[in-house]
Amino acid sequence: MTPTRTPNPSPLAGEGYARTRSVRASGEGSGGAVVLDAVASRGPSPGRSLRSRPSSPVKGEGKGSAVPRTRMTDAERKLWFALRDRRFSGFKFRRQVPIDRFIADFICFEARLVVEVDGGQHADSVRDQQRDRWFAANGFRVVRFWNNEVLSNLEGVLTVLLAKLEQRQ
Amino acid sequence: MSKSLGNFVTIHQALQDWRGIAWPGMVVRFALLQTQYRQPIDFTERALDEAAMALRAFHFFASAVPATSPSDEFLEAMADDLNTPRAIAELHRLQKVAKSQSSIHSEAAGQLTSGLAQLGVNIQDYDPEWLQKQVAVKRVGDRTAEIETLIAARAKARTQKDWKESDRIRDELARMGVVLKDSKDGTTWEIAR
Repeated sequence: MTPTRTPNPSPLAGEGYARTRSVRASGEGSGGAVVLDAVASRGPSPGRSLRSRPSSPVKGEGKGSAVPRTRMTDAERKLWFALRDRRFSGFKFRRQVPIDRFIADFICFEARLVVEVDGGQHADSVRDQQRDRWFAANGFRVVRFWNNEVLSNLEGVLTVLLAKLEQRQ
Repeated sequence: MSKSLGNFVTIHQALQDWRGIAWPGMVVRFALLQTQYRQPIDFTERALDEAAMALRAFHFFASAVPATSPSDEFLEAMADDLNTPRAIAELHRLQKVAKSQSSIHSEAAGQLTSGLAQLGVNIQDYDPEWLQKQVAVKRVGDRTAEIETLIAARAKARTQKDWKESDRIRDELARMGVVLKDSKDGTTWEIAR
C-alpha cells in the first residue's frame, strides 16, 4: 500500500507525529489507511487532529495515550537522550508510559521508579501530590526534577537519578 | 514531621544515613536555608537533592575564583530579616551570569563564592562527586580491594608492555562496571554510568 499523505504539510511536522502515523498505517493494512484518509480529509486543524485520532480497531486500546507521546518538552528530550537505549547504567527506561489514569514522563520498571520533569506550574501542585500518592500506593517511587535543572545541570540531575535507582537495590 | 509521630530526622541521622545516603553537612545546611528561619521547614529528600544539584553547579564556577564580596542584592536579602531563600535565588542568578561569561574568573563567580561563604558553605571544600562516590561504593561494595588489585596487575602488565594482558584486565573491570582513567599521575577508577 502507499503511505497516506495529507495534502497540506502536517501542522505537527517536526513533532514526530507524521512518522508515528505512517508506521501505524503500514502495520494495520488497508483498513487503517481508510481511517487515516478520513483524518486527512478533515483538514489541518491542529487542535482536532491532536486530540481526536481515529478510533483504534482494537477495542479497549487506550484512547488518549498514544497521542501526547509525540510531544516532548526540551527538557524531556534532553533527559531522554541520556536515558534511552539502556545507556544510563544499563537501566531500561521508557518514556511517556500510561499507567492507570496517568502518563509518567519516564519510568524504569525494574527499579519501579517514575521520573517526572516539571515546569514551574507544578510547584506545590495538589494534583501532583495525589498523583504521587497513587504511585506510592502502587509501589512506585517518584522523583521529580525541574525543567531548568535538566536543561542547565544535567550532570547533577543524572547523579541524583543514579542514586535513586541504586536506593532500591 | 513530629517527634510523637516518629517521622523526624535528626541532623546526625541525615549526616550518617538517611534514605540510604550520607548527606554532606553543606548539603543539609543549604537545604535548610532554602526556607526562611521563621517559616516551618518542609524537610524532604527532594530539598536535599536540589541542594546537592545546586552546590554541584555552584562548585564549577565558585571553586575557581577567590571570594570577593557578596552582591548588593545578596546583602539586601540577608538584611531583610535573614531572607535566605531570596539570597539563594540571587546566588542562582549569579551562577547564571557567571555561566554566560567567557572567562571563568568573572565578578559574578567571586560574588557567588562570597555569598556562599556567608551562608557557611565553603564551596572550595565541596566535593561535587560525593554522591557518585557513594553510589560507587554501594554498587561494588567491598570489591574495592579486588578492583585495586586488578588495577595494580594491569599497571604491572603495562610497564612490561604486555598490552594483551593489560587490555584483558581492563575489559574484566569494565564487566564489573568499572571505568579506568589513566593519567600521568597513575590510574583512577570510577563506576560507569
